[in-house]
Amino acid sequence: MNAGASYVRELQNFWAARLKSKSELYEAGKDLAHLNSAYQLEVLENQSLKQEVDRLEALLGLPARPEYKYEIARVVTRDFNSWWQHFEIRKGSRHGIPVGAPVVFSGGVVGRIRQVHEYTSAVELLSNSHLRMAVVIEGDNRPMSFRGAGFKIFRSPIGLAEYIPNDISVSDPSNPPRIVTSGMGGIFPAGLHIGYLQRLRPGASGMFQDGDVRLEERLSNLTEVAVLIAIEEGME
Amino acid sequence: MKFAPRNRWIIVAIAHYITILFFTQLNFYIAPFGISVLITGMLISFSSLTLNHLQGSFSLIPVAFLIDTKTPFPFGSSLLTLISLHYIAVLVRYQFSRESEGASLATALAANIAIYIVYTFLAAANLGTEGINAFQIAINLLISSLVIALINLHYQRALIEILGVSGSTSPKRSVSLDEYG
Repeated sequence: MNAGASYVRELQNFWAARLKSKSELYEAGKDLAHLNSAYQLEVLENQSLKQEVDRLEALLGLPARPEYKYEIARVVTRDFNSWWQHFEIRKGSRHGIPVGAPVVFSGGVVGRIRQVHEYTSAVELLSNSHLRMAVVIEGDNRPMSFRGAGFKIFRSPIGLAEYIPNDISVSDPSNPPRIVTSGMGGIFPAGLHIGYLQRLRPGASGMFQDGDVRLEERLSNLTEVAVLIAIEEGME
Repeated sequence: MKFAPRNRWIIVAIAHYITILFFTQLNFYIAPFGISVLITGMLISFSSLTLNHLQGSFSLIPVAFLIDTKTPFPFGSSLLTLISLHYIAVLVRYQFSRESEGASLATALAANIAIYIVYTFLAAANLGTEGINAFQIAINLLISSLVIALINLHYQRALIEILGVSGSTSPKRSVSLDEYG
């Protein structure tokens, strides 16, 4: 039923776009062409970097890192209430989505697949208190714990970082420490953006600190996400 | 037309489904503000005060299953909650004039508050207490109560009109509620 409603919403967007003038469409097309050429350059750069990484891995005899394929999916419903933050996407087991798969977007981690149906899946948002993961501060390899802390009314979603080493501080509020995935646990690849560390306070044990994490504002109004599906070795 | 009077619960269940679909869409658009509207109490109020107890529970069962598929609580939690609240309302309805608009609104608001309390306990038991923010729950409850106060009367009237058209002898609002159970 909700998937049907999302198709209706897309139809509405389609007709709203049809009402735009030709000059507006021309301008949008021009912007997209610029963006496209920039992305093509980045693709080339990424290809050469990937080749370099593969070469170094072979040289050092390192084990291959997990490979993922992306499954792009539209958001059908958003259920961000006082107790949990979930949303539904329009891809399910028919599209090879597994339970527990990481969900990402251009701004970093979105969450994790909680439930998979035939044509839809439920995603647990990063701000959901039930979602926990090991994270690190960018440029520092000491692991910390992260969990969602819900929404602030009329504000962006928030999270909570625990076990932050005592030498970490938020000295410059305009340039706060960035929190990224650690790659531990094997679900999320390392280096994906989570958010920025804000206020710090002494933790319960006294040996570490706890801190609020400001998550990406766009998390609350996503319309499209990508599900990362691990490609097992030997499979294409 | 003998189908409709005995199976009014189907019409009510469909109306409840459409209402839930509408509010799911509304919640989609207001989600970026961290607000969510829950109107299940309003649905219980209509089923409990207007239909007889059996038809009322039949009309709530499909709605409860729909809600159960969306919550992270054990399957059947919403069914138990809704049916329990329905029978509490059925027991209480003989104590006051259930035809009055005030009684309908009071039942809807009380049922909604009860659902918020039950969900908070279920969330604490199943998801942990860390994510429970009392302020956010209070704000969402306040907004949901305001929405119910605004639309409850129109919802009840519209449904009674539909039920009147589909089987009763009179489609007017003045029709006695006893006719419905």
